[in-house]
Amino acid sequence: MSLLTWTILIPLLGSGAIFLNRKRPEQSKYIALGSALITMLMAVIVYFSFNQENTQFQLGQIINWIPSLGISFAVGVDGLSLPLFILTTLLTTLVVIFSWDVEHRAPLYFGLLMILETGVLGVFTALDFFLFYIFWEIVLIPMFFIIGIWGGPRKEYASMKFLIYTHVASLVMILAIAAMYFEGGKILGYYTFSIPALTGVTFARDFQLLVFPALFFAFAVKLPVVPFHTWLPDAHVEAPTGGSVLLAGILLKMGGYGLIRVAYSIHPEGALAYTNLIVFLALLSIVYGAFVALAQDDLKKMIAYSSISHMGFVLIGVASFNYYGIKGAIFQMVGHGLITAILFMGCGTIQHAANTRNISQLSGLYYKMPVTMTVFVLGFFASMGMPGFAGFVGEFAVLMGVWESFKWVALLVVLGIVITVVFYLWAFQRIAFGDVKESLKNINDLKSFEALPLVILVVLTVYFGLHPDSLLQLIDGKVQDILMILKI
Amino acid sequence: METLTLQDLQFFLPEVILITFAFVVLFISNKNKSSLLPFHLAMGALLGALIFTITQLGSEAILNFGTVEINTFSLLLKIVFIIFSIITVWGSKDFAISISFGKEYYGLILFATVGLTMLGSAGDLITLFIAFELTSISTYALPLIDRSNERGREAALKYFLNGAFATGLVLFGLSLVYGLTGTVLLKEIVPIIAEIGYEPMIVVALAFLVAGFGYKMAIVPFHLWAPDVYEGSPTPVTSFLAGVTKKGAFVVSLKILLATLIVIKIQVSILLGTLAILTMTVGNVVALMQKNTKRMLAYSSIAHAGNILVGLAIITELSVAGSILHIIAHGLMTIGIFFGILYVSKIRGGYDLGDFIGLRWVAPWTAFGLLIILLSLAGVPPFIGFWGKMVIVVSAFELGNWYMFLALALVLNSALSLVYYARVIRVMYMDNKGVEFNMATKQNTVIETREITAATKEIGKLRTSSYNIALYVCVLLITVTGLFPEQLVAISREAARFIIPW
Repeated sequence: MSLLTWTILIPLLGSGAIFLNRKRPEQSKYIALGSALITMLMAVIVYFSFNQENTQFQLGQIINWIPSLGISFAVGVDGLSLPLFILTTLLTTLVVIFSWDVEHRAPLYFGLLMILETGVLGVFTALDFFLFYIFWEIVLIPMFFIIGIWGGPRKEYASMKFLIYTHVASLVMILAIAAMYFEGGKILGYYTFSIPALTGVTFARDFQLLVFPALFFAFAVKLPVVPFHTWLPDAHVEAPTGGSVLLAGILLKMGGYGLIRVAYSIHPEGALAYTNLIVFLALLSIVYGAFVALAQDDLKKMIAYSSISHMGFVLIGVASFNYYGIKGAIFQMVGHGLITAILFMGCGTIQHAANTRNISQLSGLYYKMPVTMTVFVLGFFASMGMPGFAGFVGEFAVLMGVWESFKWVALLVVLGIVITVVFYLWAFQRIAFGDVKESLKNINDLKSFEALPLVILVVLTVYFGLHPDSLLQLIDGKVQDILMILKI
Repeated sequence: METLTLQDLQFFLPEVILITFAFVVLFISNKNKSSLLPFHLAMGALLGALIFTITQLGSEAILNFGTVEINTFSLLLKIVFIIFSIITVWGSKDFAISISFGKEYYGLILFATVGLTMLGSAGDLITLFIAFELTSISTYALPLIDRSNERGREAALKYFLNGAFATGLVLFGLSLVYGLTGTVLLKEIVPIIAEIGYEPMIVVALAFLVAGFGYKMAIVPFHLWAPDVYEGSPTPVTSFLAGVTKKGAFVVSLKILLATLIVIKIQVSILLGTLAILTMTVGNVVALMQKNTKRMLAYSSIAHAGNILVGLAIITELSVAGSILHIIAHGLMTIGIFFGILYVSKIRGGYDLGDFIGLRWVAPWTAFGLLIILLSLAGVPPFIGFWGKMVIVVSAFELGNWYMFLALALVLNSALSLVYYARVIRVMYMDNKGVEFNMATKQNTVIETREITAATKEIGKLRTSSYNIALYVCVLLITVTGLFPEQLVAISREAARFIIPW
């Protein structure tokens, strides 16, 4: 068992320990924190043992699992998956800390968080399509429970919608995988589900035109792209804060990751044939998401729609299919993961203190919760793409990529950014300033376990904003590798 | 081919053991109702038969002028059916004590198991038919075995009349096949039909066979008996009918249809494919509307019959392997879940969705077992139900063209089925208030709920009930085979090679 395999399995073992220790529910959060920290530590070791010069999959392991179908347990990381891998371990740890006061069915909550982490880590490292699919599906179940048990008033409806919607998408993915298995087998001479092997195959153009839309649909639902986004606002609004952070911070990234790793890398010709449609959908997500966010009274729903808008950047960056576009898209995924975590945690803190998230019922919070509001405004700045924060680097690189490929389309992307600035500043003005409402007289600022994750996230956001090279270097080799596929 | 030698008789040992013990069970004294002797005898017979069958694994033989074939396919199915019967008998321990016909119940199950074990190895139409009828006739009385169950009468009558009618159809189809080919040996039928080529009578024979087996497999539009029978029968019987004997019908269809359809493969594919899509869709849509979990599972079982039929419609080595895999998977899941809901009905009073509210607090392990089986039924990895479906889906892409729509129909139906499975999960784990969100009216509505009384809590502690044991055994098998499916997939593929005639 290699280091990477252990990193994936440790959260699962942690969840097992939590479930076995159900008699003492107060210990579950310590076990969860312990296993999350160990996982993060191991992810850091993975980072340092990773050779940035090499664009191949590294630190991998292949175990024969179902040889009679050509399925193996194969894992490995490269420049595309490693940043998301580390992000996952980081956000899970911070969510465990942020959820320190969860007492309602605590063992189940922390256990599910750990299973979720294993699922996501597996998705980012799997090098076999069936393994990829299995981890992809495993992610759904804990999230279904997290929304359905600890969620808001319409949790039943939201959790069902999330489960069914995303499950349909993944089932469509399995059809595409099955098609690639046989078509690739004919070309390779042996039947395999291995992702590197099938990435090396050049599929016929007609075949790519058929399979790419299926893969695109599967990943577009997860990303989500308008018009496949309707599950997201419901899921986010009803999910507990920890669930929202993981949902927006890492689960959406699975869509972007799949898009780059599978859809674009294996079917570049098919992807280019549909570029116009994809760019249209991406612009729709950016502009529509921003406009709908403008109209929201619920702070959390506003952030949820801003996520849709920001994920549109990822899609259009990938669709521009050039150096800056793809690099920006990957950076944007990591940056958005950090920033959206700040926003959802800030939102959760406000809800804890004020018992409401409605912008119309909040005002003057700056005087009652100065620290939260400072962090919140920094999150807003980062999210709207202010230079100096991680959000800026990703969006700017994407804009460069879009300009290079589509020229004036970039103006529409800028329109999206402008609206984003408007709704963030307007919302902040309404909740932070003005007279303190009667109902908010007695609220307190954030607690220490809420402050710690927020501070860490803000520091990281600023760090990657000022020193983006640390991350860009990591993904550089892989981006050039992806572009080579088409140029040959 | 030679006559039987003494050496060859070892292959009949499992059947001989089962038949002998079936008679012994029937003839023991009936005085002591709570005696566990019939149970131990039945279990002993099944375990003995299982051990002897496992020792034969790997051997290959054609016995008695080709009427009995021993190969991987037949041995695999023997083992599977015997294991299914063991779980059913084990789970029925508490049930058999509570009814007046306890030993007859075990006797009938043993006779039915003999028929099932013969199905896989039958090499000619007559042996096949007799084995099939032995299974059917033994199970006709089962829905009425518990006389305190009022609804059992309707169920038994419906099951018997439909079964007898279906038998007639099958027999007629088989006689047409015999008339065309002049032989009853399956091995000889295949080349003869290939030589005759297309003949209208083959289509007629096929129509009768599909209709006849369609009744037995409960595929739409021959399914109307199934929900009533499954709901009306005592639950252990339902689990045996839906989980075990119905699978026998699939095995027979695999053998006979594959043999006869060689010349009209495409037409048969289209026919079976259409029936499969119809079966999956109708089963799932109707299951979606059920508030009673037992009836819901009856319809879900119909939908799963459609999944298995997809594998039959594609007819490649991989798809048949997928069908075999799904037959095994669905058998395990069905037995497990029916015993699970039986336990729930014992502690909560009924099978309504409302009886499952807050089950997690009343019977945590039962709820957990049901959760695993429900996920497996919905095709969520890493459980065996996922692999069965996925092998069928993957196999559809080997041939391409319209089979891909079959695969699409299968996965969309699979997603649809998750809606009603997840509803049960939600009620068990999330719904402690008994409130349901109504999609149509966008409002919360209170559904009928029974209070968790002190008494039911007390019963909830009886976790060692035999119903629970059957559930846990199934859950264990589903999880282990789901995590390490290699052995099962490999043996299914090998078995499929034996029955594909080309």
